[in-house]
Amino acid sequence: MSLAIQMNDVSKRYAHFQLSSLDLSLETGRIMGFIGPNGAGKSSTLRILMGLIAPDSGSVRVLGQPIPAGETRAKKDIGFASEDMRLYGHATLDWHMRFVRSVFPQWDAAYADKLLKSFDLVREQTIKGMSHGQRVKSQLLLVLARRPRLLLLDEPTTGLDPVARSEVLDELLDVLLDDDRSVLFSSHNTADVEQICDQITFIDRGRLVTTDDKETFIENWRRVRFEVPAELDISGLPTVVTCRQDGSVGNLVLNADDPTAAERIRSAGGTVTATERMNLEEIFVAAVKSNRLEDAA
Amino acid sequence: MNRIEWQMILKDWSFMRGPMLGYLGLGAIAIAMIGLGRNMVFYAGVIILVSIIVIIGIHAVFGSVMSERKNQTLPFMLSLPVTFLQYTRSKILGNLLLFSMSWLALTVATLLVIAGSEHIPNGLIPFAVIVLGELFAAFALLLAIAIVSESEVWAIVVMTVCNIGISIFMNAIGSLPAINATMSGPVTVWNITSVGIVAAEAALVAVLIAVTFYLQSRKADYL
Repeated sequence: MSLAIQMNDVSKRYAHFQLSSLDLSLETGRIMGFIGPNGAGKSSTLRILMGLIAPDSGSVRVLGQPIPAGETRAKKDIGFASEDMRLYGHATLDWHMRFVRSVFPQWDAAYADKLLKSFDLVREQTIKGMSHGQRVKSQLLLVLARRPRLLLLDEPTTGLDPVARSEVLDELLDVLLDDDRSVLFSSHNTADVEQICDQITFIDRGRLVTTDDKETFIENWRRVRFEVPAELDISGLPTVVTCRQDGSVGNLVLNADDPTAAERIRSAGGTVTATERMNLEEIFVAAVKSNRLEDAA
Repeated sequence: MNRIEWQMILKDWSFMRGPMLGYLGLGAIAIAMIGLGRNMVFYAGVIILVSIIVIIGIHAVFGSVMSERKNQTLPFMLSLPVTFLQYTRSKILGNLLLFSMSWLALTVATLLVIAGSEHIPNGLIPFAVIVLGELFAAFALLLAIAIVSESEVWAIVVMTVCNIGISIFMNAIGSLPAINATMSGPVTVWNITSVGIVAAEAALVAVLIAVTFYLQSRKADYL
């Protein structure tokens, strides 16, 4: 199993924020959704992977290269696009294409032309004359036409209208047909991540909350609605992530399909009124809240 | 310097090519006014020439260094296969070459005009070289501060102080006995004072570049 990304015990301290002991790995050919609230540390993590920020401690390898020592070798095969990255406003998209082509010999001109059409972009248009969606798509065109082995995408769909978002995600899905290409896709939009990613990592307040296959998350996490005559005792139930109870009615969020939770409800004289699967956003919110409660405790 | 660093330099130059040619044209007009040698026109020419050289430096630094951070194009450049130090090197070398070419062209033209004009004493040449050298050193200081501080505010402070300092510097140099004594003479006289000042200016430029590299190499975060 080769790893496109390997971060071991990486920490980075700022005045009001800290990335703490981050362990993150991405297998070659996988697409990881990197989900966290604003300010969770997603951009800092991606910048460390790009060698744009030096970690205080820990080790980083990207595409087999140690970062920052092998930064330039790794960056030849990394396509990086971020929400706070801009192109040159007074230059045309064509100028940018020629510039990137002059730097990357592997530039695929035919694919760039295809992307121009599918993204509905005009070569001769200046960047400052483009809409936000067109600018994001231009950025992605410049990244994708290089045919990088690893894509690091920092909130690429933020601020896009539904049509532009769909165009971008469709193109990313096409890219991902190549088994050797890996993607780390950061976002706080779980719907986008759910659509294209096969592996999910949640980050909050600079710490990894949990990481797993998307299917495992969707298959395992459950919301169990219940009614019990008295307060439900959830001690000794390791799969319970959160428990909310208002009077006799409540619900449990479980991170595994665990029958012992239902047995505990029944043994307390209660009934399970419903067992529901959760979508990724609900799982994300529950995981983050639970993590914060643990921190507070 | 690798191929990508040169591509980055050429990119900066291509963005500034138009304005720089315009400045050189204005500089040529200023030098022609100096060559006429008549009092008011001569002084106006000097002021315009000095202003043009200062503006070339400011435009180069703000257009290629400060704007990259302000307009958020820095992440785009740093996503290319270069290290931050290679990026810094391209900025320093690109700016130095761009400014040097313009400065050298205007300086040589100015000195040729002084040497060839009947109205201007050749004794003025060391003074002119010293003042033009100070403009180069001021540019190097602005470039260093802009790169190291990454702050538009600090760059503007340095720019303002340097601009105010030009007339003070000219007066101070002109009042030095070793310079003043030969300024109005028909012959160019290079003495220990004038050579020393030019050497100090060159050394200051070299030190500023070296310190800039050193401070950049100690940075851990580039965005």
